[in-house]
Amino acid sequence: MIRLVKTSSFKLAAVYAAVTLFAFLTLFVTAYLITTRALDRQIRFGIQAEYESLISAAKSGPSSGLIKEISERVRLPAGTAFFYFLSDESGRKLAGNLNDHHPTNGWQTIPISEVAGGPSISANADDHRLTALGGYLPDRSFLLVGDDSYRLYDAQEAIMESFALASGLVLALSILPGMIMGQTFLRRIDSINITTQAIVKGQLKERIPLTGHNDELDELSRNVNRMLDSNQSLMESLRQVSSSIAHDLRTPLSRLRQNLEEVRFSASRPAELQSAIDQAIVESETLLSTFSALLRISQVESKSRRSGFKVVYLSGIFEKIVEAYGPVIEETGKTLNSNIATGVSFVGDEELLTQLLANLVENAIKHTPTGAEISVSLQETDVGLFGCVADNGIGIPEVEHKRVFERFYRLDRSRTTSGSGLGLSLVGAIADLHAISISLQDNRPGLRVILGFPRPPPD
Amino acid sequence: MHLLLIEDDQRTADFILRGLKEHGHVTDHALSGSDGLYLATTQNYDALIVDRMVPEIDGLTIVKTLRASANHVPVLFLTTMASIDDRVEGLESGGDDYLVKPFAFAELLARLGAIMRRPPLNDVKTSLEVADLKMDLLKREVKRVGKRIDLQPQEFKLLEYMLRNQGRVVTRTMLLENVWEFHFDPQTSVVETHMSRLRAKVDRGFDRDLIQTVRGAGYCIRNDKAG
Repeated sequence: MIRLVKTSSFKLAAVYAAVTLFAFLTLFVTAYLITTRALDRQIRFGIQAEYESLISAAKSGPSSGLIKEISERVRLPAGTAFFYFLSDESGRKLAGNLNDHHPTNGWQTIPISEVAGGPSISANADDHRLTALGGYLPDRSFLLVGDDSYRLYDAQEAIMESFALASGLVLALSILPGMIMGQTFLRRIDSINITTQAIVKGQLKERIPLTGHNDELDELSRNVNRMLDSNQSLMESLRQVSSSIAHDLRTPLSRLRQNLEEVRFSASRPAELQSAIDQAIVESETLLSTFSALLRISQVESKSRRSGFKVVYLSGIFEKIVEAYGPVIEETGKTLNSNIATGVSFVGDEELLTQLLANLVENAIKHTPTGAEISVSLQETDVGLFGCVADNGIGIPEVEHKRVFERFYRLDRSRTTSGSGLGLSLVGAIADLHAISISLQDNRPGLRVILGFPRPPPD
Repeated sequence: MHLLLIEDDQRTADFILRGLKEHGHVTDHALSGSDGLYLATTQNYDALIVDRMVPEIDGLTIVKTLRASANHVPVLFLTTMASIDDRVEGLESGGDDYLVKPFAFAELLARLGAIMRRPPLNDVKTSLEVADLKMDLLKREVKRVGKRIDLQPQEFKLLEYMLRNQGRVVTRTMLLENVWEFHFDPQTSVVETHMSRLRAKVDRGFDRDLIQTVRGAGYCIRNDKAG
């Protein structure tokens, strides 16, 4: 219950209830005062008129005329709205339907039970009050005209009752939904807590159930689930990477060790030793370059280089790569076609963009047979800025398109070629850093890599 | 040459000191940044080899301090692989070149040679030459024995860099960084291919080869009368 009261929806409901109640209170007090005053004035106005009409009737004759007038009014078959009391100068009752009076001049309020008597007063007269006007007449007799102000009290009571009723209703209507909402809220929070605790305990596949209401809690849960998905895949790739590192580095290391051991026991001539040492140096350099490639990828992935982004001449980078690799492609018996739009700039890291393109071209060189055609292009079109590196080699099966960007991922058939299996991972990381989209397509035959440069450039 | 090595790792220092001694250099060694800075300000060295991460005063601060006091001694920075991106920072602080550990000794030697004989910035040359080869930097023209040689832009840049460092060994990495501005190691033979094309144009058909391969180190262009 304390938890429920502490929920924000309950608190909100309570605040609403309080505000509404306060507004009601103000409204009712105002209505009460205005109604009371209006009714009171109306009653007094009636009494005064009656009093004056009696006085003027009395003036037309002796005081016995007044007695007669009052007696007649009291005797009216339907009863009278007013109460009268007439006494002589010694206080003896001369006429009227009241038994007693307070001989006070002017306006007064008297409990009816004190002055009334006889059947003309209703049974529940106890709480009735008489609003009355009293005054001494010139002959020292005393006249009192009064009216039961039950109408006033009725009105006041009605207002009070409706206030009480309305307040109760408001309280119920605002607190109850607050409680229900709070309860629902608590249930859903509990379900989120249960899920997160399960994840903390290692059940990484757990996800927060959605209610399907598409409200803010669902949205929150969906985002948390999405975060969990990406964390899980990151952990998965981390696991994959560390086992790949262990696997991929063990092979050259054991080869290195084997060579050294062999030389240690069998080499006799200095020339043999030297060549074995040279071989060992080459092996260790391969290992070192794998490490530096890994470091470079993680550095690019850390996104710290974004702070050094500048406007770079993209056309120039493409031209430089074509000029640098053109001869290499020709020497390997392949042809290079290029079609590079001039005057294109982009915001990014020149060094990394150069490496991205170089890696793609080298990848094309390495994985195509003699006689293949490699093409490099940069095109600015209405739909965007695109770079493309394509070849007509054997290509990559579509099912593997996504996986080639994973660290150490190598197609089975390229296990035998040189390379660390990190070139395309770095391409992926650099593209990601620059928000460049990469799509791999079947060039029929061969592979086509399309780079979609974001326009306008990222922040 | 009188050199100063500021390096706190004794094994790396021994490796460098031994190599430099074999090549006829006299090298002082400081194990900490403060000792190094003291030596650098009190002695007259031909070049400094400074590790980025040394105790007390780091390499970057040492070089900044020297440059602030108008000391323009050539500086070669050493750094570990983990901080390859510090290169720009190192050069901006006043370092002349940057070498990532681990490195081949030949690379260190070639880079030291390059920074020690780097001409002052205001020394603008309009032509470069070695033996009977002449390069006109304004006309972008190369002639050997008066015969014009047509070069591709990157071949021209390659030859220009070699000529500016003539008589000294330039390594593959130095060429990649300075001619192509590649700060990574290509998996294909970019340097070798361009170099063999350049050689075909510059040396083929002439009585002697100007460009030579230095085994295990790199290339060198020189007026080698004996060759």
